[in-house]
Amino acid sequence: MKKILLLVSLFLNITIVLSQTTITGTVNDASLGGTLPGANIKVTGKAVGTTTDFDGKFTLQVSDNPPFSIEISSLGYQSKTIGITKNNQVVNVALSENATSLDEVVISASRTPERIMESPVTVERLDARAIKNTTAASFYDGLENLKGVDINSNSLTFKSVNTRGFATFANTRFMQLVDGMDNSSPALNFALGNLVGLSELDVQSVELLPGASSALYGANAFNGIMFMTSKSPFDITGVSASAKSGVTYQDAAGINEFFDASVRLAHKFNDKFAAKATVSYLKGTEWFATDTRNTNGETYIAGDRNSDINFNGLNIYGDEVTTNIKGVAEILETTLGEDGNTLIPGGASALIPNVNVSRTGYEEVDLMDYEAESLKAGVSLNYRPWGDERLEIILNSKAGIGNTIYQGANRYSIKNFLMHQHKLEFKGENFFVRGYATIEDAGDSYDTRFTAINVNRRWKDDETWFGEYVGGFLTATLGGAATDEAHAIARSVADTGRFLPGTDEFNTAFNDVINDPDLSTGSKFQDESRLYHVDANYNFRELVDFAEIQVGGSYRLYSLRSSGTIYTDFDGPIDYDEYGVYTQIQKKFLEDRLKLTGSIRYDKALNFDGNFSPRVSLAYAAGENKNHNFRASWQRGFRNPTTQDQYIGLNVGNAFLIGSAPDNLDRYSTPDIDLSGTGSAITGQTAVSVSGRQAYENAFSLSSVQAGAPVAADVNLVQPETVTAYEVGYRSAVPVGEKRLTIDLSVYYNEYDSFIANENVAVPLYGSVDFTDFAPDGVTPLALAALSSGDFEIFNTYTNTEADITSYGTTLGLNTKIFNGYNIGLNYTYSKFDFDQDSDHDFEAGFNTPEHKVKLQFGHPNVYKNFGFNINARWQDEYLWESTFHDAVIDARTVIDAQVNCKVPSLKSTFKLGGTNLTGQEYLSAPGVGAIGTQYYLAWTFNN
Amino acid sequence: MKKNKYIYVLSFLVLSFACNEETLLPEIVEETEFVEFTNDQDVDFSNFVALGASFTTGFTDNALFIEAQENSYPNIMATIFADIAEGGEFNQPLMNDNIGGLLFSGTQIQNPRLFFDGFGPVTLPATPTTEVTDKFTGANNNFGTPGAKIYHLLADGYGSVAGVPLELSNPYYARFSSSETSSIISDVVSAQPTFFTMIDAGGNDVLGYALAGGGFFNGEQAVNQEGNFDPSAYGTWDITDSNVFANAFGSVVTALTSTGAKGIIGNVPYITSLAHFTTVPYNAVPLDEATATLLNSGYDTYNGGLQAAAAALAGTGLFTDEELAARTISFAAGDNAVVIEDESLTDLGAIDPAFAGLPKYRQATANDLLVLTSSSFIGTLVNDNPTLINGLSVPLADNWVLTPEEQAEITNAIDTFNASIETIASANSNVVMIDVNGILQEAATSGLPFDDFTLTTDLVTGGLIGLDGVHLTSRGYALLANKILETIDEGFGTNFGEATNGLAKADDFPTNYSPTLE
Repeated sequence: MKKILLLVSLFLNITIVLSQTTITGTVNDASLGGTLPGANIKVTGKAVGTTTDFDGKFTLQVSDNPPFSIEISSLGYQSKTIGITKNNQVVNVALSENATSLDEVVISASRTPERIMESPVTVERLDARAIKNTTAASFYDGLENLKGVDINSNSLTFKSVNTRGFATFANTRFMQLVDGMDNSSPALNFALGNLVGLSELDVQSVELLPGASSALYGANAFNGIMFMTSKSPFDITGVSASAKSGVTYQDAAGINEFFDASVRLAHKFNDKFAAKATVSYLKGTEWFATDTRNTNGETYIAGDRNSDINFNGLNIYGDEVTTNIKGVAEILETTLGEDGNTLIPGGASALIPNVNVSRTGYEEVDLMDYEAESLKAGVSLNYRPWGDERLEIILNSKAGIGNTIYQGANRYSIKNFLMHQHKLEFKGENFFVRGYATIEDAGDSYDTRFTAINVNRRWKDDETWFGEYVGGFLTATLGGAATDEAHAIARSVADTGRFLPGTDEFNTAFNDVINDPDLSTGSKFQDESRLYHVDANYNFRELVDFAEIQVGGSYRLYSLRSSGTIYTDFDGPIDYDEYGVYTQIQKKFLEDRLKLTGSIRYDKALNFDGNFSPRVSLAYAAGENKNHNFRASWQRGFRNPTTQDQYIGLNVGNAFLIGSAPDNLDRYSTPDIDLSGTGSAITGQTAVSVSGRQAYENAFSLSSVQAGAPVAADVNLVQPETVTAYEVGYRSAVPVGEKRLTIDLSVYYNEYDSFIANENVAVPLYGSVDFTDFAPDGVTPLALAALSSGDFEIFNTYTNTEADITSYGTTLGLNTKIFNGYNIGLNYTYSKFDFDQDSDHDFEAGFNTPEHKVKLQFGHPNVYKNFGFNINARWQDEYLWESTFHDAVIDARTVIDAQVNCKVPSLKSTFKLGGTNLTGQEYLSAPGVGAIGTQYYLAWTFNN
Repeated sequence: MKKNKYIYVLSFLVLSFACNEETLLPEIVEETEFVEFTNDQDVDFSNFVALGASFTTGFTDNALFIEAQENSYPNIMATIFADIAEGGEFNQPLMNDNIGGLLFSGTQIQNPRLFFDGFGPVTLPATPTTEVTDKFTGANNNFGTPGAKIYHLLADGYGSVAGVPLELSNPYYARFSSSETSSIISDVVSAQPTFFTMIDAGGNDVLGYALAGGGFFNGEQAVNQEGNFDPSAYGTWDITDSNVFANAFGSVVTALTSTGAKGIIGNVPYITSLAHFTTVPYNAVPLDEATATLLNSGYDTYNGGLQAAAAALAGTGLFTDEELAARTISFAAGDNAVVIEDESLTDLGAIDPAFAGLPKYRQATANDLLVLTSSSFIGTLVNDNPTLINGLSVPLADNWVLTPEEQAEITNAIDTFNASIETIASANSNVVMIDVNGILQEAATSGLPFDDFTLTTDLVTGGLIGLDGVHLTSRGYALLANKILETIDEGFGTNFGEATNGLAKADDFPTNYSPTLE
């Protein structure tokens, strides 16, 4: 500790004396008492300034000679201007809190600063002050308390943010930007939470636009977009640090410690050059996923490993491998063994039931690496050639490496996953040009389902296992066993010698499998995909008077490099690019009460026609003090299919995933698939391989096959999806006695067209689904013969649904202060969607959002002698979660988080003791994830 | 782990009310639609009585034993009746063990059951403990009697204990007969059934003939008694005269229904479809070249005689070229057809004494059915003489084979029996006939679907027929019970077929009994 303090004092004492006027002073908090750290002190009209330290003190040295004035401001407080008349003047001021948070300024809604009150669209904001008061274990987790925001927890360290519905953990419809850089993984197409994000100490603000924003931000800002902005090393300097430790408690995992530490070093060398570095390290234990209940691959069904021979536990893997044992018996009774006899007597298949049996699987806890660990670091070199904000050149690199859990179609152990981003940005007051590269390396990540499947196969291949099962069943039956007993004996016969978790043989097989990228024998994910992005924006405000006009554009190039393990990039990287241009015009009328904004953006991606996305919005400020703000907007948003939608070629065990880019269809072929006896007789081959094209051109709709009336699937190649969004809103600060009640209401209605959907199809291994060729009997269409013989494979195609989907909802937020500075906030969100399942039986909407959500906040940042507290309570309705992993209803839940904190100015420190989910009632974010338990933490924050 | 690390945790735990947690992952309970049993015609299942022959007892694997009786189709039905159809108690004259077989005064008169030893059916190495003279008393609902023919049901004294050693009565019926002079039907009527089944009552009237291969068997010659109206003159292996059959069947049904009881009667299946007659191939004797040549030389005289006879009788039509070809014995390397004695062949000696030395031999064809027991006889040596090989150098006697002519006799008899049964059934509104014959034919051709299984008539592996090749497995009996229940639905308007728990489930009934079960 001493060493750190020494280092800190070294930094704090470095000053470069160039100036002529020195001003010192203290900024206090008039509303809450105490000093106000982090307040900005700026010479009026110039970019020169400083910030107060943790004690609220500042020293400003400027080249100007008095008299001049300085502005003292702090986020959430009313600014003050103080006249400076002499050198060494001592300034002691107290700032009062803004009456409402609606006075805060946001940038993202119109790409230009404006009061949140006047924003033409709904925008949510989380700033450094809110982060200090959050009850969550991290600022990112704290986003959950914003109104209208959903957090879906993949795991302790991977939270997926969404707004307005249609979310999965692979939330490709929601965009996350950190300092202008898209934070999504180039291969996965979504951000891994904050794994490779921003250090809590470096967060300046988080802004979140619910709903489509593609008119300004391009193709992926479909459900919403989040902007995380870091602190400039010109503005916030010095050393700050934080350390958090505590425990997580979950029934399944027990009590585990976690630790989270961050350091931020920032220094402004002079007016022209500043730099910062941040490092964060987190270590903990993930929530264990132990839902071993039985499923049919889609929903829960009754039974367990003992009662259901075809058991398929949700968090048990390897038991997806299933086969019809009568079919096996029919093969065995015609297959000659070494002794010249058939493997089982002819006709013996009559004793084998026509049922599917699954192999014995392994529980996720024996397969998943639950050690959550991440290290993220960033450096930024900021150069202002002219010493002011006219031009700043930023060189910024960030890297994150870590372990987490991601739940897609399977559950993946994301291990030693590395992603780094490098940005060069030129920005001035009216423009920016930036380019960045995102490079990832999937590290040692692996798929737990395939791990289990292939550990099993390394021990005993499927043919042998099922053969032994049938042999065991037959022997048991002839020995007098009834069916249940015969199954039990058969399984024990087939499982003889099975690798038990914890044994050397299991560990050896496990390690071999997770290091093998061939999914037919291994489970490793290989990916080194990259993304290159350039974008630029220019604001004509200094050149054009009658309105504010902006133009901008972006170009993005993906380079998919999975070595054939995710994408069909067997023969080298697949390059895929897209670009967009946009313009916006904003004009104020009627004493600036009415603000009209129009934007339009054109985007073009390699495989798709260009798309225009327009947005028109108006904001009107009524009332004497412009305190009644109405807003309305109409826009069309769209989203391009992701690179996975287009270029994936992956066998996930129970299906083949085939992206629908035209050049992808023939690039993927399945491994040889063994045909049934019937199939072999018809085709003259014992095994066949089918290409991805078959899934789109010669397949049955799976639902029709399951319903017993197979019809050809009508699967079009995936096209962009679009949304037309209507939104109205109202914001106001209504006087209630001496206090003010802020009201923020928004209502939206979305119409979706060509929603991107997965459709499962059954591809017959022979025969045309048009029924133009026939089995040897001359009557049965060949493709139907294939279905009835089990000679088909399930493919997951990427397409668009024809279903008409609409969603709508409303959000109401009320905030005020009661008594002596207690904040109380209440918000309610209603979300609903409609569509006609009959219009597309195979479409799974995946709205995955509760209809009703209520969030309550109550706290005081300084209730007594530097002590503050905050409580968040959230209630939400039950909802249906639909995903490729599993479908289930998620129960309604109430979650309570709380913290108490204490500032110790003499130590420049804040201590916070907090806990999340304090009722101890564990809950699931979605079926299959680890149940979320309780987390307690003690946090120390230094100089922040 | 240090305790004080968690002090701050504990302080929060006090705040938490973590006690009344709901179950996070509640058990998934299967929801099945409950279909209520309906009985619009108020069929009275309160006193169900079964009569018939061995199938009715649950006889399987060549024996009767406790578990087999518990898996008899009447008991399966009675369990369902009791469960959903207001059925009453169902008592059976249970054997003393699971060994099977019978003792009479300590002497074994019926063998223990068969079991599968990994290769084939073998007799359980145990001694029966069920003593015929130790009579079963008490209420009885199952009057099935192994070996009983239709006219036996009416025969007074058929259950006489004293008659057993004299083979004048039936040891199974003797165990539970009400008196030395009672008949099965009188005992059944005394039981006052409200509902009855008589599914297999006519089978033994033809089965014996088939089991005997239509030949001399166990000291008796099997005879087709068509035209002989006196059943007291019939032997064990005889085919009952069709008029005798019709009269007896009619009398039994009349006796059963005279009190208003309703019931199901079964017709007679083409028993030649049973595994007992379909398992042993006619042509599965592998020979090498040398042995074939040697064997052929043994038939030189016979073949030469046939040629001579053919030449002599050419043009008379008395000895056709077809018969000559069929009778000419010829072995070759590979699998060969066995040689059989076929009394239907032309008696050449009767035509011309010159050919009196020519026996009625031919090689079997696909149209011949070899009885199951022939499999352990073919290839054995006569008096350990290596040149006298049964089935090759020594033709199989008549009792080993059902020739097409014998099969036709059986089929004709069954057809006339079934015509009578159908007439009886259609004339009596209290009975409905189940087409047992149709069911067995389906089993023998496409197999019988039963839940997840398809039962076939293959021996050991088919799942329908037990190790003796004639009687059903318990799974087969369960399927028969279901077929009967569905016939009740058709005839009497119930809904066993749809009602929850209205049918037996294949998984609850094994196909085999463990050798350790005793």
